[in-house]
Amino acid sequence: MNAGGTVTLHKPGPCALLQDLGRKGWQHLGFCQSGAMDEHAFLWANKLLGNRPACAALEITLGPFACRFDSATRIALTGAAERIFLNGEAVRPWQQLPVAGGDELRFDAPARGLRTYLAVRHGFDPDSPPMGASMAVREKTGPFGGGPLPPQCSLAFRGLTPAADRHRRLATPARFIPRYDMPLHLYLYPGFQHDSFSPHYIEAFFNTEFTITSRANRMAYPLAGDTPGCRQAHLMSEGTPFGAVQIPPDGQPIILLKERQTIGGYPKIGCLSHLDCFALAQRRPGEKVRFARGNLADSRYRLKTFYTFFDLA
Amino acid sequence: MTPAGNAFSISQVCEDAVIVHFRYQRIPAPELVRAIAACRRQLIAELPGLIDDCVASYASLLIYYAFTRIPVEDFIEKITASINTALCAAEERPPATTAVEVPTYYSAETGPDLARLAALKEIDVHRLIQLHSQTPYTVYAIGFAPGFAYMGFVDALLAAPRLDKPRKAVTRGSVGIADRQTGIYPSDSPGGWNIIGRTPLDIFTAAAGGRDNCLLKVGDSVIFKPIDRGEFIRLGGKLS
Repeated sequence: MNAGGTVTLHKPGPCALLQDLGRKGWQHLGFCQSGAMDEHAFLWANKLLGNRPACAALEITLGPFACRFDSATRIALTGAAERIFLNGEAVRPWQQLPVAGGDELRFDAPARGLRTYLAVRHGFDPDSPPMGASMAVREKTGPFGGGPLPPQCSLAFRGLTPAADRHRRLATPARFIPRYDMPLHLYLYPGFQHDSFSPHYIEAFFNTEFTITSRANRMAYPLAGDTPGCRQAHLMSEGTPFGAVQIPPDGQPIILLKERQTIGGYPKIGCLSHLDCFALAQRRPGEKVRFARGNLADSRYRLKTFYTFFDLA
Repeated sequence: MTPAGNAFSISQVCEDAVIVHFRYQRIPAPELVRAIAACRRQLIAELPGLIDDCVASYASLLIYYAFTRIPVEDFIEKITASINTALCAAEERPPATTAVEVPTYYSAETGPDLARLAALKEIDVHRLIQLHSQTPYTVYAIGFAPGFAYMGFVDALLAAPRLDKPRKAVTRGSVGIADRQTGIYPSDSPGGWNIIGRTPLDIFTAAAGGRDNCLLKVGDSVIFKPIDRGEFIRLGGKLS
């Protein structure tokens, strides 16, 4: 292993964050899970480089983004960005790319999708805090005080020894590259307080086209749609898993994501499959989603297959 | 001996989590919350490597588990046994309770809602302080922000709804009331609770540190001890 290199983010865009697969064993103290919003794109970026699956990578929301590498490494970009330039020359996402010291990478805000992942060989190497590399903006925890990463900040990575680091030039097969402008059906497993909602509300919930509101962020995606309000009994706060769908009294669903609070007191109609949440993380305010009834055993099987593919099971 | 068959129920909620709801009458008793905390400890000790996170809150336990390593039916069987054992043990010999004393400076300068709340309840400020500090509370949950403990239940006379408009900044250490709960802000943050005083204690020093730096945990017993301005400052409290 050579001495480390750094990458300097000249233009990080509105919300660039270091992310890994999130924290484990901290929620009972009130720390959010955090971690990559779209694990599909995140895990591909690491896989393309032969990294361990949980290596810290950059999650870049929108753009424009520009950075400069001070030494050689290999990188991979996955997720939303399409028009990407290395030293002014167009390069493709979803594949491994060699970079040399002094190379400049940039991309414009993508036309569709929301988050781009930039991974480097061996991962970014913050000083391994006990909670891991994930940043949480709302909570102000993790490296860089939770972020977002400011312009001109530098991130360290471990250097490469070319001879010791031969690796096939991998690219993601086209069939695994999602289109982020396809209609999205979110499969909901009914649970929690599902049975406390009126049949009238539940019918409306599954028949409504919802719009992602401008308040959507890493914590939650609040939706707006033509659903009725619903009277609710008082609920003792309880733990809120990834993908839980809260229904406040106004009847407008709120989907809880990676930076959600650990507990919550709104009734929940059920929980989405993780894979659908990853897809949702690439949808923007203004885009439409619908709910459909899901089967938990199927979702679990699909997710296990997914994690097995990425060496996480 | 086994606890009553309907002492709790377990539901699958998503691919990698199950929730345990414990039965209670009207409001969960402190003994139940302590028994749930004991269940949590038992699960983590008995099933290492299978439990990723385990969040106790009031009468529930949300368990995140390593779903790729064990079929859900087997996992539920294991935790059922574990919870039964822990509940029985708690029934025979109540788990030791950690008692925490929280020195608190109740005043206009540290409690912007103190006078308003007293006026609203038609009691004088001293009576309000006495009512808030005379009974020990139980930590029912930790959430909202790292280290923020929800404690209950305050005297019905002190119950107060959250502010209509949450404050943009509540000072760290602030002691507040919302409905029949009381809590302490572990760090400067926005918040909508009625603030009646401030403690000089560090509730939570673990922004990026160890897991053991949280003063309070679910099941603990907390009593507020009124202190004056001088003692507040002597204990490291800051006025601003």
